[in-house]
Amino acid sequence: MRTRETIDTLAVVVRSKNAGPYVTTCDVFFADRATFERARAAQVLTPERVAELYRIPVESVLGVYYYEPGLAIKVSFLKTVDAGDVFCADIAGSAQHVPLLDVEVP
Amino acid sequence: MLATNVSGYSWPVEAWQRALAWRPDVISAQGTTLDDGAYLLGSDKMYTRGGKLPFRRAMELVLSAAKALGIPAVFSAGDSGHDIGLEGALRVIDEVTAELGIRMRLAVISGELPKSYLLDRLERGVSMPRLIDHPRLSPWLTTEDVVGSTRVVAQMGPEPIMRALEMGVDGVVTGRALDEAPHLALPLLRGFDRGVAAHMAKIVETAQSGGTWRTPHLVTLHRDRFEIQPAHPAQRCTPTSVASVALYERQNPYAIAYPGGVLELDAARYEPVDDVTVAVSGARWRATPYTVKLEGARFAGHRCLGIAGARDPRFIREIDAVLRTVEQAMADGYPGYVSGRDYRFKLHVFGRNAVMEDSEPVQTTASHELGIVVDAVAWDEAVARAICYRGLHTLLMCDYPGRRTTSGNVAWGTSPEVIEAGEAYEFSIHHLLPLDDPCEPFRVEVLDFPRRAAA
Repeated sequence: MRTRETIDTLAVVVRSKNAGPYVTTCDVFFADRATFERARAAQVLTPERVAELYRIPVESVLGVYYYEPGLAIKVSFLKTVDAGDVFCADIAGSAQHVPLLDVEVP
Repeated sequence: MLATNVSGYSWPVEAWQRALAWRPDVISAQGTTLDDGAYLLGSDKMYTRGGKLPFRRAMELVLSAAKALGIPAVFSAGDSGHDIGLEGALRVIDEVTAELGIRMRLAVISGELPKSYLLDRLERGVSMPRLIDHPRLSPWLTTEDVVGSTRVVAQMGPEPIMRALEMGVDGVVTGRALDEAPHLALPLLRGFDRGVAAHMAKIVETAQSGGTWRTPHLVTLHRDRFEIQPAHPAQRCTPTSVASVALYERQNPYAIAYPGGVLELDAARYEPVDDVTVAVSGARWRATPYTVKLEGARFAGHRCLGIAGARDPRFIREIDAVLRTVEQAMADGYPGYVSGRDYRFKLHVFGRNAVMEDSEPVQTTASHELGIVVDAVAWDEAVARAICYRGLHTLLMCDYPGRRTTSGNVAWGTSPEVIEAGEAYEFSIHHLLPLDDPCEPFRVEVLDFPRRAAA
């Protein structure tokens, strides 16, 4: 039986960061073109899927980009707690990538 | 070009010396950021990040190298890049030049805009839209936004730096600037293609501050491309590694908005030159009306923190009930003395959902410990302290289903248990200022360093 493959098992870099204080941007990099093409063909991430994963309205998802020159997927969305909020606990937005890890890549 | 970062990261001297042996034409570096939040900008502290020491080390290397090679040093500095932070950087430059026994004439460009300047713009009917539709930002900059902010900075583009470089100086130090601006200025002054230069600046500012590397890089600019390699002998640039840094910290990988234009990367090419060097070409610059990003912060109160460690399995199992009790106690405050309008609070539960909050996919913690940070912010520090204390004490002694820990539920790890965390700030301005002249609001001074006689 083939093991279930996910962004966690296939990606070489999975990271998040602020794109300004109000937007989180996540990048998923694959090591080779074949894996990137597989993820792109399956459209593993879409605005709807990202909204579901982060429990945010789909209108908050600003973009899902399959970036061929970097063999990467980029996802950008509005923060629910922005980096200017006095109680923000991830001010640089560096720890928001984890919900992407379990996304299956068929 | 030798591109680096002076905002507090340290790089190996070995890589630095190797880079200098290539005899670059300029040393450029980013040194301002707001990644660390609104306090950097709102506070009137001179040093808000790692303090003087990391910047001092960077200055010793950068200034001595620039002087020895007779090439300009171009960098932004001062943490958030407000005038107080910039003055802090200039004091370090005073110390370093005095100690090295060198004299340098530097152009210093402020990135802070006087409130009177912005109020005058508003009065003249200049519209300044928010950069992003967010409910916490006014759709268009208002007088109240400006008046209510502690201060406002603008991310200057390369143009004020280009003008300063023509003033017969040994280098340029700016306050708040576009991350890319120090790297862009000399190439643009020498007439390189704006698309190639802007793409190069984006790649090198990222290579310094995040992404894969944090070491100096050497860049060779050509008419239609640039080539990049790390100075560190153990590192290499590959087409994928270079392409990947173009994504960093930006919303859209294909189009990056800058003052006066959009950098379009859909036709970008990244090709290996040798094992460690990559050639980059294909970026296009599409001119747009010139705007700079304004950033402002406003005072939000005094903050007190308390840290509690939970270890009892029953307490952890009942954490939701505990939190409801603690939140109720903190909301009740001290009836008759303190009103709910006087303060705000939050319980950050590390081990449960402190990091991701409502987006956290894990609903039930598997951790045997929880770290609970009681966070209170109030206009009056005494109120912040009292509310924080109330939260900590309720965590310690409150009842919950199945409780057996009647001598205390949690561990306190600091004495005193209430930690004064100083002033709290929030962002108030994230808007665009249109400019007819990109240099107009940025004040330039030419100064001889050390500014005081060397001790």
